[in-house]
Amino acid sequence: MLKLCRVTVATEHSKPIVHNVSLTIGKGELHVLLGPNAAGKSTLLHAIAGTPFYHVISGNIFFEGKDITHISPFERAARGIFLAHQNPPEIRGVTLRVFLQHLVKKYGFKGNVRKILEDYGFTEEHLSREVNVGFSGGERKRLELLQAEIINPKLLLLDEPDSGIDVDSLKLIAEKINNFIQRGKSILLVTHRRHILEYLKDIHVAYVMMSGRIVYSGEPHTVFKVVEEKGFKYFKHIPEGVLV
Amino acid sequence: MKWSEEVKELAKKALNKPPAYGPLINVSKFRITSEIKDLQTLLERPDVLKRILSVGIDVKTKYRAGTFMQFDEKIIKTLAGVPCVKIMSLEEAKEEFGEEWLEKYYWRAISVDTDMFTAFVELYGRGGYVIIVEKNCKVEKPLQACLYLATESFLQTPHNIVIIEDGAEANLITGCTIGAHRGAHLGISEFYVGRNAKLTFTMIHSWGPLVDVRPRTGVVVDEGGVFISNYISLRPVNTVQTFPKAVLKGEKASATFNTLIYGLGKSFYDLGAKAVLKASKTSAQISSKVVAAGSSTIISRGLIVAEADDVKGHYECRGLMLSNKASIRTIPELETKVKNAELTHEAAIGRINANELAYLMSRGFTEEEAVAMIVKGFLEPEVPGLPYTLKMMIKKFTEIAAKGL
Repeated sequence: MLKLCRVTVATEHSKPIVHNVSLTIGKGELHVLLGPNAAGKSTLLHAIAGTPFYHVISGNIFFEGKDITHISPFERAARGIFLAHQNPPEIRGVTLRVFLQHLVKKYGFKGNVRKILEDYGFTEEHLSREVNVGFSGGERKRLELLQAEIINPKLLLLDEPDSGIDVDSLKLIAEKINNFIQRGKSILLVTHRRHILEYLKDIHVAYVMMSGRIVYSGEPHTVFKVVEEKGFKYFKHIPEGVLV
Repeated sequence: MKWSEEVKELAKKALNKPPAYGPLINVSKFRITSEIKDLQTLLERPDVLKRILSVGIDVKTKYRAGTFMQFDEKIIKTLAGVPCVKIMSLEEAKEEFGEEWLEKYYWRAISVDTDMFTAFVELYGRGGYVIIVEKNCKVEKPLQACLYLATESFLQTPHNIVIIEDGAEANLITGCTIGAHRGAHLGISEFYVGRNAKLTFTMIHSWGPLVDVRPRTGVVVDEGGVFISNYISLRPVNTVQTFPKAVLKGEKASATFNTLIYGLGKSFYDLGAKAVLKASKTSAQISSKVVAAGSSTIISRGLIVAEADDVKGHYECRGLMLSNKASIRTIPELETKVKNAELTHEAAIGRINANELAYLMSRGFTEEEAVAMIVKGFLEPEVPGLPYTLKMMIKKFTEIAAKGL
């Protein structure tokens, strides 16, 4: 589904933030990318989604066998790549109703939007509000995932869907992630907390990213155990690519 | 000397008086004789009908309580569908009501010698409507007036007078548009809102890139009266300059001016409003939302003068820049002659937030689609108490404008 070959990413006016990252995610697989703050995890997701200001300066991104390294973000979205933002912006003047109407139209969604809104804990009152304006942390994260229900992408890039939310939202989000996997979606989940992992089933592989490099990857439970016992600082001292 | 003679004399003296703002227009370059030969044929032409519909005019008049239509200087329809509403041409009103009426309502909300344009309309102007909504008459459906420029290089010069008598309520939609390429419009409008009366006046302009527009507007609001003006111009124009003035002369009177401008091409806009709070507990709100695209220039002014106790005024301008070649300038002025007035202003001009754009693009929208969605949202009017039909109409216009990016 997704293949990264030695991808190096820089943002505008910056030195490379992500270095030589290679990974492959198959259909229906859930991969988890762990790492401390500022390790480059979000940068990698933005580079895959093609967000402006994030530039792949070397390496290639393949999606369903096609090189998408240099195509626009909206083309990537159209091909089935979805990014759930860590800090989705407020869209002033655009109500949630209007925004969702645009998505429904664009992606030809035939399901019941009201049912989905209810499932994700939204009410009629939210529809009249501007997108993310005055939304709580949990509401913003849930709204990100809710959009994936309408868009129906093939690959979900989830950027810390577990940060800044209460336990109820966390459980709901984890349940929805499990549900997406059951439906054959591929997911790359970024987090630096282990709590959400307790609720997730079938994690295929876990990575640890430090200073823009994937320094560790392997069977999820082993990785979580090492992170739990030794902390992220432990990974500073291991040579790249060496598995414990 | 009679008032009608006096204003003529004042006009003659002001015929060369330059306007306070905006570029001059050489009126001698335009013609004041219409070339329309067959009005009925013109009214049936699909392109004409399309233009008229585009400024909110219901040609079949089914959803309107009254209609006035003027093509060039020719008045083609005056129709009042409600017994307590009178609609007629200014000429008819002069004849019917006589000098006493003129003394009360003719050039009283705005001075005839304001500038060369007001003077020109008094001396050479033709056409314009008089609408009178009688005491306590509450008109449910909107009234409408259409001013259409048909002849190439025509100079349209109507003088309109709207009187909302005590306790009456009405919505008036005025749609101004053009079938020719080039032209000018000098329109005088006087509004008299009586005690506890209410007028919502919505003016929709859809001119063309070679049209110069100089509306001159005066409003007088009596005790407890409410005047709401919505001015919308979302299509290219050559120049527009207007600075309507509202005098709130009765206690608790209020005036609201909302302006929505979408500057396209080389359009030049200099507009705003002035409110004079002459009686205690009066209030005024002047709000502008402007989008500057292409190489357009938009100047937004707001002047609020407090002359009585316990008054409130607020001026607000929000600008959105879509081009490096465009410009937006906002000029707020607050003046008080009393101690306990509450006058405030705020302004914010910026471009579209790059994060918002990137976010929408990550959802599969092209940059153009994302900009259109944001601009449309930006222009969405937040006017409390705006009738539903007007809300829907404005929504439709902003959608069309956003699509035209």
